[in-house]
Amino acid sequence: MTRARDLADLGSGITSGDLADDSITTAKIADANVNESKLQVSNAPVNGYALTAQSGNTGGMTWAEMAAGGTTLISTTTVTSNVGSVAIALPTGYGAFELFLEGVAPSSTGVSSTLSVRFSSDNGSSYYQSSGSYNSSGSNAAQIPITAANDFNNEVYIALTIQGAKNSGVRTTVFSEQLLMTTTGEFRSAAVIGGGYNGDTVMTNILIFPLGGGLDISGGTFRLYGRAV
Amino acid sequence: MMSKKYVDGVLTYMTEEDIAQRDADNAAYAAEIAANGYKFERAAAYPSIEDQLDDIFHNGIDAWKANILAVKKAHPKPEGN
Repeated sequence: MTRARDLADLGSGITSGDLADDSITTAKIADANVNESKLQVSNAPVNGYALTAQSGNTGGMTWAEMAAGGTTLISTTTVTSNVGSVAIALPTGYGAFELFLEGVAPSSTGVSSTLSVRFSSDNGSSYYQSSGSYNSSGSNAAQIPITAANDFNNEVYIALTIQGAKNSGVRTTVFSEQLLMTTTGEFRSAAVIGGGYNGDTVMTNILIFPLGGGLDISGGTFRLYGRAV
Repeated sequence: MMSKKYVDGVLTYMTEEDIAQRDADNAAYAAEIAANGYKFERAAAYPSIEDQLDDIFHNGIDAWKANILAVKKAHPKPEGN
């Protein structure tokens, strides 16, 4: 009958030849005793890199830099009383932005009410927009319809995707997807429109304001997210 | 009562320039709607392309034209446009 013994008791009397292949099991390794150098990795480690499976490389593992990514909540603006506009800074360090408008309500509506978009408080005529069947240039990047009919319930959900705002080499564009809700609670009039600023200017902020119908935004939440470069 | 606005999450009063700009924007928009609003209204009122094709298939071109004409009449072009 054999008896397990501490290594210290064995002294130098045991060699690798005494051990059968595959005889070292997990239970025979003390906790916290496998470090990076004991792994068979195809390259040298670099701080911040992650271990990736690479079946074609020595040991099947390689240290690799992870691509920057992810989405960061930059700011939240909650409107609880009438305001004429909402301006939100577009900070540097992001390749694109997403602005989610939840439950945004104009102070009153008509059949032609819209939410409009400008950048950097520029109210000139350098903007263009398209709703698919209708294209125009003018003084804002997008006129997002917020009324489908007279029974509109002053509630709209919009997702804006803003690209190129921090890049001096391209135009700034905005895509809008919106969904309206009626007084009876049914969803209505989903639509996608697009537009942009016809110049390579770096934008500092985005401005949302109503046109037609009421002059104010009476409620809703504006959440700006940034996507890493 | 002075109108307000949000700037980077801070509630503040609109300046006289802001209000003048808002009024100018709305006047320009009203003019745009007066001139071209019927296009938006017609676009929203037309049946989908799929429904129009179905209408033509089942009822013929004349019936389809009558339905389209009804939308046009319900949202007429402004005088002189």
